[in-house]
Amino acid sequence: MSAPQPAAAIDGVTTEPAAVRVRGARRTFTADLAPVRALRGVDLDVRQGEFVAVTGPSGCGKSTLLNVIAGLDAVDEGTIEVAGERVDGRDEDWLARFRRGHIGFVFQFFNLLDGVSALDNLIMPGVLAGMKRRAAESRARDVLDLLGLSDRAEQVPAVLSGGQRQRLAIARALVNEPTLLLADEPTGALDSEGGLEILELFRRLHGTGQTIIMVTHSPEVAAGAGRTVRMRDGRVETP
Amino acid sequence: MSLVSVWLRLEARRRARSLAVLALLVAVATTTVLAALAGARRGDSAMARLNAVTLPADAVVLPNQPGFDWDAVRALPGVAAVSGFAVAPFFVEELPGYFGYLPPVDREAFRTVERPVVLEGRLADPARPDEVMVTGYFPGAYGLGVGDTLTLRLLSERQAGDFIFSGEPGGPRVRARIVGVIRSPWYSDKLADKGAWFSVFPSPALFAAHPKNFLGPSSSGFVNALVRLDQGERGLPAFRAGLAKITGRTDIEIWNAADVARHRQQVNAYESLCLVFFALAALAAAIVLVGQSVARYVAAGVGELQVLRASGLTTRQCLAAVCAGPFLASVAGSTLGTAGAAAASMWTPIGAASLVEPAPGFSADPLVLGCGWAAAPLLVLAGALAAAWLAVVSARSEAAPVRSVVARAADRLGLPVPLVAGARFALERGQGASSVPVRPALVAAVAGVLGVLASFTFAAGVADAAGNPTRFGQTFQLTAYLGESGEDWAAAEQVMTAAARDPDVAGVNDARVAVAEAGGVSVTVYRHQSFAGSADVVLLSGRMPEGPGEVVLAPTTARSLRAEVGSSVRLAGTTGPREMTVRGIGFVPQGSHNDYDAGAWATADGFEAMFGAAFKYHLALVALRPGADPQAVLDRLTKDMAGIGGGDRISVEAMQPPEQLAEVQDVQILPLFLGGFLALLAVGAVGHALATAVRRRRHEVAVMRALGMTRAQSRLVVFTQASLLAVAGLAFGVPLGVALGRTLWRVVAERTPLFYEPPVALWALLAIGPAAVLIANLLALWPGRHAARLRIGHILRTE
Repeated sequence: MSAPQPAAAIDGVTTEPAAVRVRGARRTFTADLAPVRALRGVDLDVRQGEFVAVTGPSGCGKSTLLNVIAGLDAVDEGTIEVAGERVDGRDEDWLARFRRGHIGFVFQFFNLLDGVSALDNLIMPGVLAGMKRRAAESRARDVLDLLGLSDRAEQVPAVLSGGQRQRLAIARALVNEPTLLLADEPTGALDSEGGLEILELFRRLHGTGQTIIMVTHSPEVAAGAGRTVRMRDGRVETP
Repeated sequence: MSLVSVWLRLEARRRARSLAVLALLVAVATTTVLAALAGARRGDSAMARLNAVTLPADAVVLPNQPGFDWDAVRALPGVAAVSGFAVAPFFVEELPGYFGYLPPVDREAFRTVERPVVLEGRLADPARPDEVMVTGYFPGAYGLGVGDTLTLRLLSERQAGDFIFSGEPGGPRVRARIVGVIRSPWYSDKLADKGAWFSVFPSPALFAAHPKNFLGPSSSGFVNALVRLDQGERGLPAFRAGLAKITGRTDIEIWNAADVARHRQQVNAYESLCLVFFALAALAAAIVLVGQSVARYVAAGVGELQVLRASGLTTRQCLAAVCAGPFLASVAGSTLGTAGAAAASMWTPIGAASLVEPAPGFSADPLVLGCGWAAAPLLVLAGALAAAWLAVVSARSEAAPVRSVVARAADRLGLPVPLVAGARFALERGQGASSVPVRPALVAAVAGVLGVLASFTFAAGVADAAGNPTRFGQTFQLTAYLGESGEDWAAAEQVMTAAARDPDVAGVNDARVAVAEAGGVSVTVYRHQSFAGSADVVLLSGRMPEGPGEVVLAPTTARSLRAEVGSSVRLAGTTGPREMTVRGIGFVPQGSHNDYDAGAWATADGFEAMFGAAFKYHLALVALRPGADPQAVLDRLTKDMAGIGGGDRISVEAMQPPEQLAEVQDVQILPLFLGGFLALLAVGAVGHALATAVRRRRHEVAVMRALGMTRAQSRLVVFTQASLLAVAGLAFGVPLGVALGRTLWRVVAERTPLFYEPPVALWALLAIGPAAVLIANLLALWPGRHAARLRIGHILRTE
């Protein structure tokens, strides 16, 4: 895991490099009855090495914000910068290649591949990113070990508990040492004990310098992050 | 039941299109299968039904003797009826190149023996020489039917007195009206010449008005006859004995008409069998295609209904609800399909059976249609229940999915992710909501390749037989008629010497031909005596005879006499019966009175021992060098004959292909239909598998896209799946298809009979691989595009 970058000093004023910079992001979904304005001009800065929780009521645009940062969705207006690169206005293939090296995404409902083993679920992103299979397998085993899942390597996700599946999903997100780890309601499908387990894991990762943006509707979970950003009706209330 | 009706109403609203498509699939399948089965039954029974209504002849008696006393034959005990026909031609001016043959000579024709069914119009008045009837194919072949007029042109009396006639007929013109279209076993079209020959039948009054224009000025022509016996075929031995007694001749050729009917029935039965196979293949294809649709439909329903388990839904209720829609759709489809099959009866029976169908046109087969109408929905219901049960079990199963060996190997080899994923899509069912059956697509791919190759291989066998008369044992290309009834028309040796001198002639056989009798069977015996060069006889087993007590039997004769190589048969020629040892089974020349598969070869000594100096015909059988032009040689030999005394009576003719060739060519269409059907099945099943895989496994594709797989790589997943299906189809379908095609051809070769040469469809073998991969990848274009355009954010959030 990469260590947090030291702050730079310019003209005596301390500046820290931004992992994510969002300016004026707008996203509207067309629907049968009326368009849904999920993002209505969002501004957000996340520094490298920060652990930010994005909270808000259901439907406030939290997950949409995460998706546009990851390039899984596109903004209608505004700019998105990740690791110094503009991701808005890019084509799908560029975004796919960008995600390989810079984005690790953890979904609420895991989105693991059911038909393959835990180990193979982790090998795939490494191979996609260009690693040789042996190297990808070695890296996958390391990450499984890091997350305490070594003994589950040959098992399929269907036989794992919820907490184990989410840890596996986090492991998959970490395989390519991403610049940014995005987690959409990572504890939403888990019980309280499982949720605490995941939160503790995120704290550990943050301690090693990992930049994390976590979406959650739970204030208790959000309290575990370094900074909380509140959203309402598609806007950021407190940056 | 209330849940079933509630669910049905829901399904009718939101999935009406799927149910309508299902009903249509069932309708098409039902029409195809039932029409083929009903057509097979109709074709198989056509000959028997025709015999039942037409008083068919039991024997065709060919004394070939001027002034033969047929009244004495009528008086024989056991003879029910005799109807004579003149061995003489007549011509039709409106049809250049056409000549009619064997006009009836007495009023028994068309009435007491071979009484035909009238397909249109009526029978000709036996008192009117200006009325004719035609066979079923004649109107279609010549555009002339009931009510139209033909101008019959007869030979002059002098021309009729010459055995060999050439030039234009110089006899009377008779304007005759076509009054009826008829059919009986004797008055019917043959496969080889539908409508082209022996298809115009004048009233016996024509002969009565102009006898010398058929038999010559001194009635030197022949009248042969159709004979019906009181006891049918069983009465033949007694009839032979009686005929020999009253004529003093044991060499009169008698065709067993039942043999001819049995041969035609064999062809009909074979075609019917092919239709049955076609129906079974269509049924298998329908089960796969319809089964896939039904399985997908009920699996989706089971998935949706699973949430009601928490509310108390039982498994039985779940099964009943999801299966009701497909069942009702299939009832509708089956009803429509049955009506379609009934309508399709207008075009059955097909092939050779259509030439003997006594009641062509619409004919609904209640047994086939009734059983089919009931069976189709029951099959669909059974399939739906099985698929639903499997879906219920799968939804509750915690078993790990089975991984494909090929996919795992691809993974271990470090192949790119899209290739590994494509292999999984092609070969692994998957789990839960994303599971997709993979076996139907694999089986269909194999079946498609198998079907195409089998049909092309079979077609290669037919083409080989059509282009190689030697497969039918015809190693002689030309025949020179040197004499008849014991008398040569010219110096035979001079004629054969002239033929042997031609640079394109490879061999000449001095063949005398006569008819022996063996166990109630007439056997046309050929003398094998090489005059010049060599010409092979095609043997199926054994060797050629070497001594006077040995013969080679043609296969059908051997079967009739229950003889094989090493057997002893008793052949009775003009000198009396002799025991002959069968040394080989082989083909004989196709003659005017024998087929290539009926007869025998004897040495010169053996022939003389059986017949002395007598013969029915004296022929020179001429074999040509490979690549020689038969017509050019025929023209040269005909010219050479002019320089030989009596040579103007010698006719040189080209060997005609056996009728069985046309029968073989006629059944070629069914394997081609079958191959095409199976290929369509493969295309449908593979296309369905590709589209379904992308749809059902879109979550998996979305996850891989989220991890960084590009759109091009998404397409590659689908192309890999398609290519693997094609490769699987080729790996198993090619060897199986070649084997099946050859096996089918061998069955045909043995039944026909002909010499079996393993067929090779070279171009099909070369093209099937690239074609299969290309078609599979073309089918992958749209699903690949769909995979590349998935809204991954939306899918990953909602699933």
